[in-house]
Amino acid sequence: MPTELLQQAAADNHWAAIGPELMVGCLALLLLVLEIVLPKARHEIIPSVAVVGLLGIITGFVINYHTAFVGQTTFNGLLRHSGTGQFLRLFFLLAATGVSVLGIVALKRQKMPKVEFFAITLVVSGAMMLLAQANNFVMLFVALETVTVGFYILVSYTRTNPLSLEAGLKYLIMGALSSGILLFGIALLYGVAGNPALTAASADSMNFDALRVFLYANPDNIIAAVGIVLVLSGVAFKVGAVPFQIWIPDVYQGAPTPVTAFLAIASKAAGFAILLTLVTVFDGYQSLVVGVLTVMAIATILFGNLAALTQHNVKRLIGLSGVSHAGYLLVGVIAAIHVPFAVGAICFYLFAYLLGSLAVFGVMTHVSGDDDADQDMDHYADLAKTHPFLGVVLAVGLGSLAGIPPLAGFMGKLLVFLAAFEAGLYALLGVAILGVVISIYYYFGWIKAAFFPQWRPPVFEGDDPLPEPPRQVVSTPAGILLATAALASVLLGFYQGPLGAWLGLG
Amino acid sequence: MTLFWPVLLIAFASLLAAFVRLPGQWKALWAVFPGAAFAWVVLSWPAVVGEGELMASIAWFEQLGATVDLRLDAYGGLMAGLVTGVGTLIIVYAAGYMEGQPGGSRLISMLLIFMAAMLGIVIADNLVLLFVFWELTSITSYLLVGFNHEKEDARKKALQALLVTGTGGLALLAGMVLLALEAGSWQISEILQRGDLVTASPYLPGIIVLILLGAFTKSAQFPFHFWLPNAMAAPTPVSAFLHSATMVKAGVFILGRFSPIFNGSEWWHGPVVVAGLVTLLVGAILGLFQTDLKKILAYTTLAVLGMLTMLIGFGSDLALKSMLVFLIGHALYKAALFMVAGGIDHGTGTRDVWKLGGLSAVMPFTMVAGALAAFSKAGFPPFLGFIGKEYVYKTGTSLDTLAPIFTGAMLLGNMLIFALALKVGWYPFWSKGKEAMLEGHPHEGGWMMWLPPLVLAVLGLVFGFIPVWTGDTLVLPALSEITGKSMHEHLALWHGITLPLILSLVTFVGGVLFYRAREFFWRKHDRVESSPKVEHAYDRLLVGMVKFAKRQTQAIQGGSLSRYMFIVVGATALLLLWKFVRFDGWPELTWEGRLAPIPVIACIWTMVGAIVAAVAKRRLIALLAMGVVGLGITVLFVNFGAPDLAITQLLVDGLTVVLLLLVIYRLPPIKAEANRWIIRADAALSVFFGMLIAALTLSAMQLHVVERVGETLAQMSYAEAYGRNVVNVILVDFRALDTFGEIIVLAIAAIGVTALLAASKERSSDED
Amino acid sequence: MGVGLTEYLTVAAVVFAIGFVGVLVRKNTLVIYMCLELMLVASTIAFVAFSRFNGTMEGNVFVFFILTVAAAEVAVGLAIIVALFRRRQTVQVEELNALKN
Repeated sequence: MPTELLQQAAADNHWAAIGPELMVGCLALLLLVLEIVLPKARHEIIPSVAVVGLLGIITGFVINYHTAFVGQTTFNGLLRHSGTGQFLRLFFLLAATGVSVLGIVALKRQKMPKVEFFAITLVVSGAMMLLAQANNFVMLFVALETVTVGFYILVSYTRTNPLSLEAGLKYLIMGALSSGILLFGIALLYGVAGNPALTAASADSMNFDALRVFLYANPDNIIAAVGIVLVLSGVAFKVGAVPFQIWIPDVYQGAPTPVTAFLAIASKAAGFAILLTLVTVFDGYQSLVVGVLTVMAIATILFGNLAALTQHNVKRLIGLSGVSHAGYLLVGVIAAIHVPFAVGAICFYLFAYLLGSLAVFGVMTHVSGDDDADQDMDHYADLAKTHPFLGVVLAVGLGSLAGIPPLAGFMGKLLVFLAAFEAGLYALLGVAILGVVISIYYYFGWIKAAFFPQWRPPVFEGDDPLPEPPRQVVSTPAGILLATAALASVLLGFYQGPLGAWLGLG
Repeated sequence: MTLFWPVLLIAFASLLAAFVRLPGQWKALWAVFPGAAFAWVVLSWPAVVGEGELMASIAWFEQLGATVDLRLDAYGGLMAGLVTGVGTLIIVYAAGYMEGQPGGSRLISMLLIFMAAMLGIVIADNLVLLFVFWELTSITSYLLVGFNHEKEDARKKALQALLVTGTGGLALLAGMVLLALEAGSWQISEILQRGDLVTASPYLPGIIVLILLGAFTKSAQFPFHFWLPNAMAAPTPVSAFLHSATMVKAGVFILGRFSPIFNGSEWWHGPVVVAGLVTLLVGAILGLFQTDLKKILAYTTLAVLGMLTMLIGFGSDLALKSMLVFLIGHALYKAALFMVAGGIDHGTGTRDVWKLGGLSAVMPFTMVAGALAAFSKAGFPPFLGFIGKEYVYKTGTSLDTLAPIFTGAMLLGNMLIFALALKVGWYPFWSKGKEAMLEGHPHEGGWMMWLPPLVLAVLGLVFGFIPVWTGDTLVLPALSEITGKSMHEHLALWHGITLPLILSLVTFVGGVLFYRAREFFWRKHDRVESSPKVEHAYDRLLVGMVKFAKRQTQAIQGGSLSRYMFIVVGATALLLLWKFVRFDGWPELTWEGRLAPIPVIACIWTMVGAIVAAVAKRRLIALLAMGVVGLGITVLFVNFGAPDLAITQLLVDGLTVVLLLLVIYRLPPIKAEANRWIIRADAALSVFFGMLIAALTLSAMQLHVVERVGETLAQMSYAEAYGRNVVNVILVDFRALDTFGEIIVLAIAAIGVTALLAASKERSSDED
Repeated sequence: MGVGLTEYLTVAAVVFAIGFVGVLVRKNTLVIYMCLELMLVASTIAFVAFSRFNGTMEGNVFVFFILTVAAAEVAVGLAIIVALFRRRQTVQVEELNALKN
């Protein structure tokens, strides 16, 4: 390492560049402090503080950070700030806000400590924001583990519920396994790229830029190839790509609903953020990467859709359908190697997915009973009649997830598929379209349950009518969230405006 | 921009109808909105015919080439007139039909949104936009067909219609994307002008097949015809609108729309003609056996759609002209007949032909409407249906190839349609001796139930009376649009005594015979229904898919963590293995045996510890072995000249062991694994994986040793950061952000553990 | 110094593989968890060996992060296992399958 480089590195710690992340961290700290300072009766306001704080940070971010530092690397090459990274940061902030609101609704019913939930959600989303900008394996690993450890706790949050704990254990073991695989892959890549005997070896071989150069110069290195396969396997776990999707249905079912939402939306997006970065880093091994991802994409789309088809538990259904969404996004990632606008397409898809999922999970939190893991399709009977608002939001959310025109989800799918088409991925496109066809079946099965009148045995006089499934009254913040998600899902299908321009689509 | 208003107006009305609940008959007021749209279409007709088209456009999504382009030409305008005109009457009818039943507003709201989408299809000038409207009609029709049905079966049928048309829609989208890329434009009017680009494309067969799939599923062409009769589960106003004049016509509509491009291609004529022909015969013949009024109508709709498709497939100017005349005639009489059937159902409570009869006295207005519509359908002069039939025969007899066969098929089809028309529009009113079988008191519905069908039926008569006007104002402009040349030949009622006229007479005779033999066919109804059909293949496909999906999901997502890990490890191993088979071939193994005592001992020590930890039968031994591994690692760290690391390792390792120790006696002792086969499979996989990793690692190492631990860095650390401990300097300065993150990890863990343990305590005290 | 990088990496790979064996073969959650830790340990060996032979400090530093993260994981993991045991009275993985298809 030449001296100049180090000098530069030391001067490189622009803490301002990670202002939003720091503020998210401080907000988390503030919540903990408030818990100590405030009397117990006033603890009710802490979740609101989290949401309001997040909204403030989002406003500040949109105003100040839209283009700040874009194109630079900071912290000695640990972070690289790109347009996509900026978008994803905003994405994670929005996801955290949505999940916090869901948390307010869902936690009210369970007798659980509330403050930790919000604090951990905040910290995890801060780590995800860093993850989206990571330019170095050290950064990537630390941020990723922050996310993972945070999720261990969140998934098993309903400790009085053995199912939540079982989900936590499953996530823990599978997560640690995948971390182990990922880590060993990183070790191999680090070692081989730093080896002075090889051309283009770098002293800073954890750095993505250096690694990229090295991989280009050594296109046939076995250790590097093994490292790449192991790293991709580890990331595939986060993304939920087959065969590393295996944890998803169980964990989604057992976890508290807001956490499931957080996993579905943000954890998946974080995985794709990493994947998008790594695909460019591994460019020298394109045929290997494309090969691995193609196999995964096909298996993911087919398995996810077929498995979702058989589900009655809506949490498992949404988890497995989320697997298939990961498959479509993988197609986009492969396309992104050749077609630049595919990255924007993926971002748009993720955003549409965020809105659709928030709408659906929002309805789920209102419909679910005391047992969070037991959310059956039958509980949605006559929802449209008893709660028209929830019914409409559910229909819009599911429709958007299914890719029904002209909702946002349709635009996202169309963009990704178009990118794939331009990249010449015809076989993958065929599989993807097949997947979409299958998905219509189960998404509409759900809508059907909510909208079409259900047959009920006649109630005779004197008999008590069958108990109605429990349904929450929609509170104002939850109502605003649901309405926003649904409206935005509709609007984004018609008008992309600044978002489209930002992602290079408009 | 005025083009946007009709669609927006109807969509707005739909939204309004969802929230504003008008009482009872007042719901008919919603017809004002589609009525206004219809008036607009009528008023702009002269301009459309004069200028050829009206256009409007706003930006939408440029990356996709999607702008909201609307274009009203004579062909689309004709359809727009039908959609809004029939739609207006349907809303009035629906208000009457739903009176006194819950959900009337909802039905009208959904009908209106469907209408807006349908109007969108016929005036869209952009492929993406067309697809959007196309799928919207599929979805709204799904909701409409499933409206108010508590029977699981009816809901299944609704989903079936959606799946078939939705899948076809995706095929259509794929075909349209190809089309757009080949023509270099997403705008339909432009693509139509660049037809030669498309016909020269190597993808032409693909484009045609995909678009045909879309059109055939929507227009219920064989072998996708089965969803249409099943969709009769819908309330009658829905059937009258969707399954006569509008949605099922959408497929025919786009066939006509794109026919200028594909006319002349061998991939076009063959499939279209054959599909049309088969659908015509299948629909007409199966219709004979039906005993439910609406089912009869559904099968005749199939037959007519087949006829229209076949005519488009012929592709000659004459054939297209016949198609248009037939299409207008059908829209008028079929919607009317559906409404009549609904009126009968409403008045008597049944649609079963075995029970119906003698209604002419109690339902006079409905009877008139039914008779007029049935006559048009049967093709009596001077109804529009007659002219349509004449043109069909004219087309058939003037074909170059296989004229006798096609004309024969048309003849048979028309005879059956004739018979079916009388069964719906005549039989329930005039057959004798059934009055006693009807329960309750048959009665005429309100004016809202008989006026709309009467208006349509009378229009069928009026249009037939003034063929020249009908031809010049309605048919010819639209015909010019889809043939691409201006057409002037007038429509006429009387052509002299020609072959078509003779064929018409034969049709009457044959039709009457079939009508008289009705009960013979009706008695066979149950047998025909239970015979194997295409629908069964669809059902089996669906059931098979679900079964397969269930099995695979149960096998993979069975809930066993061991199985899960097995899959993940196995998959990783396969990926690695595949990498070599596919990309590199097998690595060569090398071994540079140089051994020194201390590290070798530490290494062996570590490995032994690891093995013991992995196989120990007792908890404590496993735990101690973990400690041993930690110690081995520490020695290795020292040997590498990294004392800081060694100390940290020792501390963390000690901490971990202590933590485990604290926990371990609260948990039960280790149980032996029961199933030896599982153990063996697991062991085999893991040994395989281990060997794979080891071999790979071993193989590649031609790496060479360089200088001792980062001396330059050590020197620099003082110069740059004024710290003497290299690692410290790195941690706080060069890797400051990571260290920061690290602290956060620990903080989270602390919060989590506190929360978890606190709760456990709380809970156990609850239980005590 | 007579031992080359290859040997160290072999040890790392072998320990990693042993971890895998344990994870697969053992059915006691706690032991599985220990074996997962073994896999992390294997990575640390590889990192330090690479660091030493490549002459860069990055690997050493990374090991610090791994150690702390591992400690955090252990803490959380144990908390979950204990809480689960209190509820279900078992830590055998094959008995923990209430969540399934």
